[in-house]
Amino acid sequence: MKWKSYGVDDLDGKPIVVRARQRGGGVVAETVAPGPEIEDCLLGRRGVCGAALSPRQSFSHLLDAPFSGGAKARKVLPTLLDIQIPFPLEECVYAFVDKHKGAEGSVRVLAVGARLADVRSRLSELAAKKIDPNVLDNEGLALWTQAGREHPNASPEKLRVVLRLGRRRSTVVVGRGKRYLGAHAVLTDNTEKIARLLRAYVGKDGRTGQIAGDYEKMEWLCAGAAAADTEVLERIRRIPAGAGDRSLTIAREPAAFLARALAIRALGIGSMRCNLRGGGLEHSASVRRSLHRRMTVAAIFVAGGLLMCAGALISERRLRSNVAQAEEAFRHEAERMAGHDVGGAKGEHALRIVAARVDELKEELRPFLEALRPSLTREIVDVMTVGKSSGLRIDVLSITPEDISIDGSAPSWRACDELLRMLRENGYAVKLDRQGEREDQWIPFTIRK
Amino acid sequence: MKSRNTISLLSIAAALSVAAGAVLAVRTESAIRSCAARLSKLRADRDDLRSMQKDLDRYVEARRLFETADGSRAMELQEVLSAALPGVKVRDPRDTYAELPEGWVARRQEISLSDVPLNGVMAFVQAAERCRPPWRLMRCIIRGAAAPGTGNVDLTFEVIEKP
Repeated sequence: MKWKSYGVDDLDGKPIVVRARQRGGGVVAETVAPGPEIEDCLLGRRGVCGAALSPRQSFSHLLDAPFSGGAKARKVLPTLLDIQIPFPLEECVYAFVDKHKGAEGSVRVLAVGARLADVRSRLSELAAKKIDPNVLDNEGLALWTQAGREHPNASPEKLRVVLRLGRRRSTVVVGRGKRYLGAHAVLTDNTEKIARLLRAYVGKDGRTGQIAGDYEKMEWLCAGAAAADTEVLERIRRIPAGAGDRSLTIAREPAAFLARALAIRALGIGSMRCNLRGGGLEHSASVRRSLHRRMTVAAIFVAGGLLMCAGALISERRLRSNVAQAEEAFRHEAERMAGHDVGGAKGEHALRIVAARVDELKEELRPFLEALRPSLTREIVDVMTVGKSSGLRIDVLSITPEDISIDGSAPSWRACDELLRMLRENGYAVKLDRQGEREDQWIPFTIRK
Repeated sequence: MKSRNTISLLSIAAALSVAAGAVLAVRTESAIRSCAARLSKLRADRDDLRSMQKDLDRYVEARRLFETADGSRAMELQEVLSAALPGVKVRDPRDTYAELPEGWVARRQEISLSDVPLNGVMAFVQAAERCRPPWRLMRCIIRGAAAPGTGNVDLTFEVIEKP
């Protein structure tokens, strides 16, 4: 989006210049007098300068691509255009500016273009007037979109006719509702031709291109230097076009209408914009801008690539440094625990060295830990107490922290159960062996691990 | 022309730098994976070290308790026995010694008592274990004697002391 642009209408002799500026979210367009102070602007060196190719020097065609998908339709559009125009497409500069659904699932596309020779000739015309536009717009589209901008309440059922009336030559743009249908260059005096042209559009549906019936009303918008000429206007009013009434409106500042349209479109605002200054005829400033843009993009990619490289290298270095630090910390801890240099030992090897040293230390210190173990007296007292309450006779009791064995005799087969349960609860995995009943009816038993 | 050359050079530089960046990014990604695996292994190894240290600390702490305890020489068992079971004498005391770090010694003493009241024996053991440094009962064999509530007892005590 540009911030300032100039539109030049030189189609009627003396150039009319309009400057358009973005201001507060809107656009301000004002007519400026040509002079040395805007010389650079008209040469496209400051801001963007837009001029128009008249329908005499350009063409527009509505193409029906038999595809509903946009990508497929885009591929066939140049071929379809090539069929429509009477000269090779390679000798033209063209653009596809509007796309909408056509009949039976097809895509209807508006193509505009011009022969390179016409573009070259138009640029020479402009150069002779010290104008070197950055944008070479299509006059018909410029008039149509400006009409839509300044008089937006177009009825979708009415034909809209935009007339740019010049002293000698005029342009007739026809559309329906918001749809552009075509533009024609005519001699202002040749009202019969204008009438003939318009009759060809009456009843033509803008969406499908099919005849949809007679239409009774048209909206006419007159602009151009001659729109203020009552004699010309009277002739226009008398044109017997179509089948019924027409409403005729004169555009605000009609002489600057096209220049206004070109300036606003050159700002990059609105729909159906195009620049037919291509095919090697681009403005040097545009080429420079394009080169600058490409250089900027390339530089951004270089910077991005370098950043990626730097990021990757720094990340890898930091990671490796983190690993080295962690390894060093592990080695320090292992050496502290092992009490000596573990050499180049790492991982499992270092752990084995440390574990051996820890086992050695634990073995040395084991008596200290064992000395703090709970006393065995509690177990001895428990055995004695339970033995007594169960009526057992204990002959030998042998106990260590890890082992216990009891030899004795019981008055019955189940008299040892309570003692067994108590020992097992205290962590001794013991089993009971009983012998046959003695003559005194006591049963000898042995409890061991 | 100069600009076009510059663009060509910049484009080549851009392509090269982006390609180099991509290659380095891929290489870094693989380095990240290997470093992450290495760090994870190191973390597991350090956890193992800490677990061993924690285990060892229990032993070191036990020794520290001895270092800070009052007195480093154990009371003789005969003295304790005389107080718990007056008139009973230790039969054939057998001492064995094991050297421990920093001048500490583990002294083990086996004693045998004949026809002694078992309640008195338990009182004697508890008194010995209350000494500072404490005697610890390591083994006890009780054989029943003729009189009820008495027995022949073999006791093995151990004390850690600094002679």
